[in-house]
Amino acid sequence: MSKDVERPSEQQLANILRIVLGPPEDWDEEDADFVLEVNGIDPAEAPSRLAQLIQREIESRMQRGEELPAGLSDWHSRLIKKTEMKDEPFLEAMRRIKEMFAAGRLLDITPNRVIHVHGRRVKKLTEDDKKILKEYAAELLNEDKDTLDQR
Amino acid sequence: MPQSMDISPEHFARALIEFLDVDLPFKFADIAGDLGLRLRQVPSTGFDGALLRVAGSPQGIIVVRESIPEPASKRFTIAHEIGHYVLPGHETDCSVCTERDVRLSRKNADRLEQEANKFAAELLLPAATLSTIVHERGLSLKTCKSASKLFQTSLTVTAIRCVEVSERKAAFIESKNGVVRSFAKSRSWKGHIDWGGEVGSGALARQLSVGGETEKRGRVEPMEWIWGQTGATLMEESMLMPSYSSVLSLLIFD
Repeated sequence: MSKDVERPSEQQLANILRIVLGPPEDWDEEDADFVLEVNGIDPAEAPSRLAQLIQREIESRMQRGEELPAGLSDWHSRLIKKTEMKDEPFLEAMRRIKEMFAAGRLLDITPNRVIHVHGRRVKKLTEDDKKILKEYAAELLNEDKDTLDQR
Repeated sequence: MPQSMDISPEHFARALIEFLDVDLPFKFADIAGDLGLRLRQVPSTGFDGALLRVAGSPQGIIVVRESIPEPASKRFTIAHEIGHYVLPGHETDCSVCTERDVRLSRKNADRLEQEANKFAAELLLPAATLSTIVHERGLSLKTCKSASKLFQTSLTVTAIRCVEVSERKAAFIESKNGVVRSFAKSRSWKGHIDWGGEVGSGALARQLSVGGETEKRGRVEPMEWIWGQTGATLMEESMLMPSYSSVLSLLIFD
């Protein structure tokens, strides 16, 4: 009769991890992912819940007046970043950014080529200012024309 | 994309950082090539920065006034122009054509400028990272100064962001000659500060001077800052910015 593989209890597992990796605040990203995998959690799917847990741990330590280990805060920041990455608006923004800079995008543009200018803290443009802008606008249009010709 | 999805300028800023895979604070020279952008410093007098781009094409030139004194302000101006470059609606919705007059309605122009400012603030000072710093070190001018050095951003922009990401009831105010010029509030503080209002004579901000004390911290009566408000004192930290003749004040309401 085969014997079931013994699985350590949660406490035993925590002790083993602590011995192997040190205290949680010293874990780096790879260590943290390893701990999640050992516990049967996909690191890519877990950041939101973990970020909340760590946030609570940080708040509780602060309330007790304890100093926050740098590793804990770093880990928290990384998890927040991962969580945000999973947000739909972020993913949609990412898709658009990638599309904007995708190779070959120039082929899709309309022939009606216009130079657009957005200014910051624009007062009244002087003649010299207009000259500067026209100069660079011409440079840009010429380059763009060359690019289109080459295609 | 569903109509209801709200993609903010901040989302685009975070996505761009991720897309470029850069660590903060980054140098614009390191990302300009990937964005198809070139940077030119020019002797302009009528504008701080401008973006010239070809419609529908990922290439452009950012021109920045070379006489902007602080590198941090220059960085913000460049980040602002990158916002115009990347954000949807900034390309076709409105523009100032180099050979035409301004054809923007003021309202629309303001909206676009605000969006570009939000984008720039998140690009240079990501809320997730900054909130951790503010959470750990506490909201204070000292924290704002160290974050300003860390992210290479101006103290004013950094202080505004620190207040915005803070969980405390707080406000940041810039005053000049005892008059409120601009302010920002944390989400949790619902009070009101009058733009153009006079700062009370008992406020620490009124006690700073060149040649005297340039920085002060202490508790003051709320009515020194908020007209008609009484009650518990608030913590004020004020700092004189001699080059601008202005005072930056951080108010924390407990």
